[in-house]
Amino acid sequence: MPSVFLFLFPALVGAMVVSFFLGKTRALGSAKEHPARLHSLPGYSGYYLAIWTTMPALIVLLAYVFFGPALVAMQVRSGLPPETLALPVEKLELFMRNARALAFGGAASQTSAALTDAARHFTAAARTLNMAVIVLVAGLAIGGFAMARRQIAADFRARNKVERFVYALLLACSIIAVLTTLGIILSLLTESLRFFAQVNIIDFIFGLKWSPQTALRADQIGQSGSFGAIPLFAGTFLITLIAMAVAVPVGIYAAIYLSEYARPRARQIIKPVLEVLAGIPTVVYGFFALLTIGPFIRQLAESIGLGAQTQSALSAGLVMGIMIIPFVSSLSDDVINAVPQALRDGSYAMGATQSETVRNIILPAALPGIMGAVMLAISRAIGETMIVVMAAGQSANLTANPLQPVTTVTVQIVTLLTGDQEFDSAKTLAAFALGLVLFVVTLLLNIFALQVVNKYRERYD
Amino acid sequence: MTEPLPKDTRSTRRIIAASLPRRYRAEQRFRAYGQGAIVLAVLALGLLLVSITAQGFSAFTIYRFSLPMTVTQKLVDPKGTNDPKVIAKGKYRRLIQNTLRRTFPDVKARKDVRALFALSTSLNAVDLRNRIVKNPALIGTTITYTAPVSDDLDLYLKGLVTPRRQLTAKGDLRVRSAPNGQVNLETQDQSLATAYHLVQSAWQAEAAKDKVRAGKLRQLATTGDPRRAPHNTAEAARLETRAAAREKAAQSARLTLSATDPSVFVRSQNSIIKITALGANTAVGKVFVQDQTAPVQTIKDWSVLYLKRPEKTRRINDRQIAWGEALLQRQQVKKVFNSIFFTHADSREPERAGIAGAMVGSLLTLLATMLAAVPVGIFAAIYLEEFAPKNRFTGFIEVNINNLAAVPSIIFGLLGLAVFLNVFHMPRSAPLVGGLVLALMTLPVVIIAARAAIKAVPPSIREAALGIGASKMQTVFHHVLPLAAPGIMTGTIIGLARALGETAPLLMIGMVAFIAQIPRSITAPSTAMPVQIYLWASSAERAWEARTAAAIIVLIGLMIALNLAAVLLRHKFERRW
Amino acid sequence: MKLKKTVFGGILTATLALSASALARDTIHIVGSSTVYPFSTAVAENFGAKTDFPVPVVESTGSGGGMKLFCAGIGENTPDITNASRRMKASEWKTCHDNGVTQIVEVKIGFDGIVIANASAAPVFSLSLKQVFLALAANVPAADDNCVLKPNPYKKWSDIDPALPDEKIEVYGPPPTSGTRDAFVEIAMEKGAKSVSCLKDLRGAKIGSETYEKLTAILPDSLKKNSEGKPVAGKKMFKHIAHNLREDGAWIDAGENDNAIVQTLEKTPSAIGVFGFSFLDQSGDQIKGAVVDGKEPSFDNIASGDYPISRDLFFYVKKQHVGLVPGIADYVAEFTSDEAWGDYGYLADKGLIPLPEDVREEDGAAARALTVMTTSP
Repeated sequence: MPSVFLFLFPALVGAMVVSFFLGKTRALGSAKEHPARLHSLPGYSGYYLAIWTTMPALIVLLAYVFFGPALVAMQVRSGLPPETLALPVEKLELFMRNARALAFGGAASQTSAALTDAARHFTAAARTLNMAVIVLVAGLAIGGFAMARRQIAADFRARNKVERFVYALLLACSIIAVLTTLGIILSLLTESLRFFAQVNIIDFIFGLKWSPQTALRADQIGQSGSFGAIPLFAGTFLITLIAMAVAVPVGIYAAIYLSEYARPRARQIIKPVLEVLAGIPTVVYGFFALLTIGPFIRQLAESIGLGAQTQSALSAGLVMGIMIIPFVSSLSDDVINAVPQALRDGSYAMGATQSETVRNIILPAALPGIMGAVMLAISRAIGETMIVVMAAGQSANLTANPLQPVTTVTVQIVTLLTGDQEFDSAKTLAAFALGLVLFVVTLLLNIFALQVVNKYRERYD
Repeated sequence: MTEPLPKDTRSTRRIIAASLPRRYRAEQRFRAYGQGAIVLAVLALGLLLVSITAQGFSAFTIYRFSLPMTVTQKLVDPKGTNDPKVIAKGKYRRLIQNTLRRTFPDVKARKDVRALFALSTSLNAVDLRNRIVKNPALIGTTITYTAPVSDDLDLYLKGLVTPRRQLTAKGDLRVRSAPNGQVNLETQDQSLATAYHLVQSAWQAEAAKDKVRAGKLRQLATTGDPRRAPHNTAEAARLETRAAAREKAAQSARLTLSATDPSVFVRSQNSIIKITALGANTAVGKVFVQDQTAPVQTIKDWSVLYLKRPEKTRRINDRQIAWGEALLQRQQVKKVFNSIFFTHADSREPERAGIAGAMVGSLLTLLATMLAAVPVGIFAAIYLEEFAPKNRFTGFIEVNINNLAAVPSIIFGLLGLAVFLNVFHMPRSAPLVGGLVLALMTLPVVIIAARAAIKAVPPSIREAALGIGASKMQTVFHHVLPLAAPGIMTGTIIGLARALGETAPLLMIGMVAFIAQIPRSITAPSTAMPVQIYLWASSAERAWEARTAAAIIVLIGLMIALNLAAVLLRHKFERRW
Repeated sequence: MKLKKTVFGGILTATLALSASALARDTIHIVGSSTVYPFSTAVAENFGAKTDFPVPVVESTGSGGGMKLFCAGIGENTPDITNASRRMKASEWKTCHDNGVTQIVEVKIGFDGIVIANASAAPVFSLSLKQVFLALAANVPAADDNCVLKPNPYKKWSDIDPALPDEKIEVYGPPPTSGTRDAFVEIAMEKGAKSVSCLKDLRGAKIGSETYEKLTAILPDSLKKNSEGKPVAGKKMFKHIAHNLREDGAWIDAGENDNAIVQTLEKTPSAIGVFGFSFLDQSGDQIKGAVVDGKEPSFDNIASGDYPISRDLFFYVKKQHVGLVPGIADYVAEFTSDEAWGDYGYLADKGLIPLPEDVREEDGAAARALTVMTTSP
């Protein structure tokens, strides 16, 4: 299918270039020795012509690339004999695959009269569609070219038209962000709904046992498959708690020191150093937690007589905390800096020491903003994947002991989806349900936190 | 008219004065907390970088064979056809094996032959084959065989397998042949005695450990589960007997060494002897490597090699170590820069694995990300900053973008899996899909950075342009955008650097397969650097550890380079309005 | 007019041809067992280096998962080869045939032992298969001669036998997609259950016989009846009891990545893992195998059949893809070359226990000729 595209696309690009120059020449020609008489610069006429020549055709072409195969299949399906249509879904799919293979030179696992017939339909439908697309694209290009070319004249408002097109393009680009969100919600929701058709949503959210492996064949005896996500939520919560216990005090004190105490020179050095922490890939932190912090914590715990494992909530949480320090500190720094100088001066005038000013005046003033920063950091910690995948373990322990391995929502998403390609089992779909939970929780945290941060950042401006 | 001073001014002052030291102390404390926080964060960064550099440094060098090899026609091109197709099917693995056997001709036992062959992975035959196919004139000549040694030997030679002590001797060593291929050693030199004491104390330490455990078990037998008491007592007794036996053995004049004891070698210019029984002045050993044989020898220049880790607990056995030491001594194994690491893709054999495949994969992925995210991001930013009317819809888009920037990256992976792979049936493991997923993730970062840069262009520029008759669109594209470009670029580079380090979304779209080839196109299966790091980090063999850390060093280096570029760009073009 | 038609027809035909070739995959796609994965990747790498074909993509999905993908049909989107650490099941054969995968080449590549291992820092475990069964079955009989089933009460190894260590039973094992899991329950658990005398009797008992009635009188109804409410034969009931693993946390499905199990074990000295011998062979410095029924899991013991839990390894080729995807026959040839699976081959270095030489010669020739399986396994 895409070869029509491969052939038409370069043609369209060529047409675009050619029509640009043709448009430009025509505009200049229409001005007859007096270019100043033109309403718009001649280039705009060129753009205008190029847009009309290629854009409608390009849209058709792209639609063809994305929907062509489905269209052909639909066409063929409508022509199938009723006994074939009566086949079960997977058989019908196999039939279609074989027919397509027969038609376009792939490997067919069966042949039959019905298949050959369908294959003929396939060839015919594809031919028709390709023909139609070629005609349509050529027609649109030529039609667009002719129409636009006729419009080009000395007083033609080419610039306004082109600018309107560019405006639409800009708008479309900014809507892509919205489409992404929509895509996330839709894809998570549809797969999750399929999951909840198999597993009760109450059991999922409130169940205490996570053991997603189920029997594969009818003659195999596997685990019963329970999808209670509480151990995952608990593990996520525990690790987040540890990470925050590290990141919040260190981050806030660092921010206070940087904004209130540090000399400009020190600030200039320390800030980028902290930012390096934020720039290190998370997989590196995971490696660090697994090979350096984990064994260290285990030895430490064993030396004071505690049982510990290398993969533990503590090592993952600690390292995640380190990762999040710059996140908390730079956001808090912004918030603290936004507190107006007048408040400080007032406090100093009353004879307060610097620390008293910070504690009694600045922090209360900045508190909502700092809270927002912390919430953003929490959402970051909840969604963090690689550190926990590498350092926290896989076993769904329901424990509050930070020296035990725990598992988190993100770890399970990764475990359920790597290497697995089937999309009919509850096991794979569970990953999407977990993703949905993750998305909703982080979204709520983000929306709330961003509002708070923005509000307080601006209040003193 | 001044108001009369309050009567208790002095007392207020006194109260304040009295509280001052406390307040100053609090001030000092508070300040120290702040400094402590900074120091903690910087220390964490330092520890991370130091530990990774320390672990990864060894992977940048590798030990390599440099053996004379005769390319026998019989094995490569038996009929002398000189046809590249025939030469390509030659028995190169056999050729390497023959070369190794010729280097150590006394190796006879089947088990030992296998161990010897394991020093060079069979995949090395491929390089040899390519070399000879390219240059058939080499057939029949003697060439220098260069290939990396096995990862286990490499680790040993780098000193990463076992603590190793070399005791250089000064006195003479008399070697006498004994039956069963054994030799008797005799010397007055202290080095043998030192080794004897080392083994002795190792045994005593073991016995002490057993005793401690036995004591614990005895206690448990009286206080713990009565059902287990007899078993615990029995176990304790067993440990005590073992400890006693060990202690007694440690006192004997000659210590018999087994595979669970430290290994001791005696090494001279042309032979390596494994010690099987060790006394203070005498020893019995087996000759592992020998160049020339004589029934009685007196050796002057020799040393004792003491390896703390017992043979049984390491992947490389004593014979392989002896061969490795001999090769190193004969300069048939040399330490060189590990260029394989930068030119090869992934491999099952650590010594042949490299990051070139992952680097190209990352590059292709980043290319796709850039092509998709940068134009869209900039256009969106222009719209929002310059054209968007202040209405609800614009507000909605803005909230949306800010939220998207904080969505966990793994969610984008799920989106890619559900939409790109399952709906559009794009190829699994392809940089194209990875790039698109990362583009969606990077988009908000680019938009936010571009908006900030556009906002920073002062209104006077716009007003001047509008004033001389430019349209709004012309103002933006001809005047604002060029001035905002450095800022946009800085933001974009930082966004791309983040994408370069991202792993989780790529796991979702199947970029975690084992791919032993440098990807050739944007739709070919490939991995990316962070994914390669993840894959190696979860591999069992020890040799991957250093390679993982080395790959991290390269990745961090790349990211620092990107960030540095951003900083330089900002400095060079930054304009204060 | 005629000319136009020819030109258009030409373009369209070219388009169709192009589209077929644009879709065609030129890289062999291999899925399946994580036990065979190290061997398969080693062969793939050698194959890619020695030939001009691209290096095959190997994914570790577990034997069962691989079979499911393999049997899903014919065409670009289905794998060409699947590895298995057990023989194909009759049910899988049927699925394959129903989906048009009718020409399957079976290649037996060697032996493998299933080892029960723990961290090398921990003491050596010595277990009997009966103890393995008692530690891991979901339901166990109250005593040797009393088949009243009860949910597995053992929390610690020492609860089963005071001679065993006083540690929590915590076993990391393969999930149901894994062939190692199938082989483990079919060999180790069944043998272990057989050594419980009353369960052994149950296995031979016919429905309605005196023994059957006596033994099943105490079994729960849920086991005795199938989904249609009919009584279940003793053999089937036995199988259910033997194959049903614990779900109370003592047995942990550890995913398809055997490396991950090795790492977990190294870090958790009290835990035990179940996986293929090759992983023990490759990670001998981190973990060590438990002695089972008095036999150590060693190369020689497994090759000779003395070690009680050993099985065969296979891979299956979709012959219908030969010609569709280039290089499949050459891959098979590489795998069955002496350099690969021979006594001194590179697969032996990776921990594969080679077949006897005569078997290798015969099977290798059949495999290289791509001889198709004719009967259901």
